[in-house]
Amino acid sequence: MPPFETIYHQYFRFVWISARRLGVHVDAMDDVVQEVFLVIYSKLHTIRDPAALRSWIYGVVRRTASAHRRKQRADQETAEMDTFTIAAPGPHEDAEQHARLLLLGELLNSLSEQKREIFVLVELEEMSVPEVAAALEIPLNTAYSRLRLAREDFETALGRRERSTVRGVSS
Amino acid sequence: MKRSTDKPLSSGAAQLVRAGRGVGPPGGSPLDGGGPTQADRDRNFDAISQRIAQGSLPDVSHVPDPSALPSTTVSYGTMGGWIVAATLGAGVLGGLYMLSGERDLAPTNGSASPSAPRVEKLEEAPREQGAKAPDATPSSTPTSSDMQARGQSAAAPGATPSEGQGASVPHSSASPASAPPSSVQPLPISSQPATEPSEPSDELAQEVALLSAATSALRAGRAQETLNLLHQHQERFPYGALSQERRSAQAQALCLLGNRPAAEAVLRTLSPSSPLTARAKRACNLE
Repeated sequence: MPPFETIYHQYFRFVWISARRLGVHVDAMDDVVQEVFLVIYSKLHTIRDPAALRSWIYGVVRRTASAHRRKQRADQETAEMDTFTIAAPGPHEDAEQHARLLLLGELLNSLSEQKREIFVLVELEEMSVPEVAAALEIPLNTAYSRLRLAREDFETALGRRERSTVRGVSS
Repeated sequence: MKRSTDKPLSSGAAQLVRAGRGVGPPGGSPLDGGGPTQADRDRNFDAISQRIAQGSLPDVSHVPDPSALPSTTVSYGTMGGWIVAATLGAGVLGGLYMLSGERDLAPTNGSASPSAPRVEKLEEAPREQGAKAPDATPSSTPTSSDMQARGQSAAAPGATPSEGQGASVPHSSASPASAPPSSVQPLPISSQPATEPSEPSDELAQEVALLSAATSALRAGRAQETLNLLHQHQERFPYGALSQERRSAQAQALCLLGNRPAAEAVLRTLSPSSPLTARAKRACNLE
């Protein structure tokens, strides 16, 4: 098993982004990220299967973010759970790519929270469904079912978007 | 990483998904609500190092081990099991309480009760527990090599115990000065994987029986026997309903053996506000 420092650098971005996607406000990111890595540090010696690490880490992020959100329940942060922010295009990013990302963000925001979570983990983070099922602590069949529905919703939203675009162009 | 059955995404959807995978400005995908910068990475690493050096670690007793992840859905669910645990555990709690030399009735403070699922405890107050961790002020910030040692501490002799360790602890020959307070030995792998769920009430009854035997041995001053029994409990019920009681008893047994650094390390894995912690500290004269 790699030392903690290696794991930190390997998973820092994943932890950060996952926490943001789970609705942690940017001002609280440091607290949440530190909490997550302290848990990882404390449990590092129990890791037997490095292949299970990422889904386990996601589970830790999820719990920590949930605890954080509960503390801030009355705040406006819950609204941010539905928000995927698209950064301005980078210097090496063409306009077409940026447009795709904008559309992707829009479609993801149209999904329910549960469906978006599994869609992002499987499709964007490329985690396996069993990994995601473990991370979310749901039965495997539920994970497959939820993913199927998420894809259907995503495709439906995409089709709707394409049709509205076509109508806009033709009118 | 392969999906097994589902209908693949349409080409348009797949194209969008590919666009969102790991491309974009340095520090993260543009689709992440603001990816971290190098400054974020460095700042947090420094803060984490500092908290580790201070021994300000969160309570992780309720966090499943990575290797145990798939089985945790079984063990967290049944409130009935927790209720049974609370009922059956009363005898053990009473026994542990008596070990502190106090003869009045054990308080029914929630933090001493196993009636709340541990996942809830994590979600409610992980940071506070870590922030209040007492008595752990190592003199230096852990270096990269310290952390490496931590990560590779599975075979390190002299490691002091931390969360959930059983009787392997007293085999340590470490001096307090040489062992980082947070270094740990590996948890023993459960010989009874939780993938084979059994009746919660049966398991709880077995937990209670083991803990009762251990507390009896502790009351009789048989510290090594206590640790052996607690080790059995740790192996069979690594995330059992009475794991906090186990660690409290562990700490007291370690004190009896004169291994105060190890006892303190075990106590740091308990909530500082828990009556179990207070009692163990009193028994160990650690207050």
